[in-house]
Amino acid sequence: MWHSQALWTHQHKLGTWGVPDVCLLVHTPTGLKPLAVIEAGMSDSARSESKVSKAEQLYSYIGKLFELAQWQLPILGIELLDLGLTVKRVVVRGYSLSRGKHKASISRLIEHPLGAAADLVGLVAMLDRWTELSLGHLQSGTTTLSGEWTHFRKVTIANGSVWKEYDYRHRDADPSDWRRESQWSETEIPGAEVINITSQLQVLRYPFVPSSDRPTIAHLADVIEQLGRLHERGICHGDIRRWNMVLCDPTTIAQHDRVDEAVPSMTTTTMATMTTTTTTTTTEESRSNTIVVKSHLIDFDMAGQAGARTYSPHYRTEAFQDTERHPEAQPSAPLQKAHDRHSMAWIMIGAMPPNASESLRWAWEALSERVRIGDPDVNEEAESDLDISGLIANNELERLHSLVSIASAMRALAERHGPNVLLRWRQEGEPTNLSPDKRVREAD
Amino acid sequence: MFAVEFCDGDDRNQQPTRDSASSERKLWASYGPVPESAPSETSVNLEKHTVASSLTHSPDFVHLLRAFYDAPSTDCDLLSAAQDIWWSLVNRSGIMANACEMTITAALTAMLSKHLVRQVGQYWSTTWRAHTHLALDNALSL
Repeated sequence: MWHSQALWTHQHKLGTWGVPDVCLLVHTPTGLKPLAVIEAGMSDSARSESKVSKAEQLYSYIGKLFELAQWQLPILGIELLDLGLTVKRVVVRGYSLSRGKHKASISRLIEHPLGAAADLVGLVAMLDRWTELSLGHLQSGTTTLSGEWTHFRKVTIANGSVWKEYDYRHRDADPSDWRRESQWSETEIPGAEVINITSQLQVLRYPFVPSSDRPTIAHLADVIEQLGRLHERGICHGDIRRWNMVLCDPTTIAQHDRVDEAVPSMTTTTMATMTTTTTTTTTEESRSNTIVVKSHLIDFDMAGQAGARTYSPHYRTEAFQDTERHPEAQPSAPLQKAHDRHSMAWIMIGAMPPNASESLRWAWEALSERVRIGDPDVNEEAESDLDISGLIANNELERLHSLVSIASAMRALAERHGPNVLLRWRQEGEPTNLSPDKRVREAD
Repeated sequence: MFAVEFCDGDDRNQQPTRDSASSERKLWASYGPVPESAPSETSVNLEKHTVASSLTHSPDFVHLLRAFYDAPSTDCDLLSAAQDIWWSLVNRSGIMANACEMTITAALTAMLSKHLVRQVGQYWSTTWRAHTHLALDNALSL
């Protein structure tokens, strides 16, 4: 275990590359390492021929620091802008090296009005947290893996979790405008947690469970049952696609502690007295409960109350490889259960087991049709007296309406024809090397 | 020992003095030799050189954002220092001067170096050694 020493510099020349206003560095066994650089300006010097923006200055300084310090972790670049004007601003970006690209990856963390002394306190707290996190990475030797920031899209997989952002901080949108919602993902995806950072920014996190490469009827039955129970509560998914399904065997996973709870952070007491002990770094989050994850739907961004919630104004309706939309599922139209069922039926038909016997093929097609045209308002309870096995044996599947009952019939079919009957996804033109897991593709 | 050291560098408008040049060599010594190919100007094309502008999905970023937005403001000493800086900013409104920027950033650095001082577990402990030649006494009571 080694000890470190932090170094603050003010207006200290960085070789021939300029004079950063403020730098935070730490001494480590492998040399001095930079954590943050601050540039302040009475204005952001709207670029002229003779001046460059603070962002460009920071890019130059930080790029050179990466090179000089042989540093892998991100460096925070903080711009304090328009300090001489009435409306002042703070912008914080994370700069990280992009492996193999010879470029930097710049991620905007904060763009916020600098409106009061409390915002400066926020900066202190953030830098304190960054120091703690960075030193934690250094101590644990994770400076090139979990400590690296390499996100290019809205979804990524890190530390065994899927992370997804809902960031509306920087938009001038009317609050009543349509937005992606995270609440149904939190209730429907096993182990999911929504981290509310501000009213305009939420982050969804859930344990990553890989999809099975041997999808079965029972797997799909679990998903259809989940959709059925969602519909019984009057909620539609709104984006039923094969890529929005995780088909997996029941898997027991450890659930991370909620980020909302017990996050050690700088407190005024620790800062002022230097006596309180901080016990945990976030890179080594403790694990507590376990949960059993079955096949399930993901991506509930569109989800909401049937007939009330509307599709996105930019809702895509054509050129899918993995679903077919209901003709009335159109941009800004209200969600309906029948729309979900239409897409699910299309997926089901396309997944016909290739080695299906005649009886299985008939029953599969019949159940697919029930998914499509069954009365979506009939619930499981209304069909509780039905003898599912008898219906299958007597070719009376048209009596089924609820998705939960249909899922039961699918499981009965799987038992009757053996557990090794696999589904086959049949999407015309889909590259064979395309990962079936949307989360993995989006995170790549 | 996790110590915070405050270095006050060269004024950007002055040539480095013998002492400051020595300090600089000492500061950057652990980086090794400065490459000859280093650029001499800061102007860069960000579009050309960068690949991402989206919010980063590392577990770290959640904690950084939460720290900023949920920062405690009950530490009277820290809040007082921040208010001093804020007062300076507000009352210098409209004045465009290098000196002003220098004073503000110096005050900010002093605040940061004083208040990012704490004990982390049994492995880290922090102390603060104030710089000696930063003329902020009149502006701030740090």
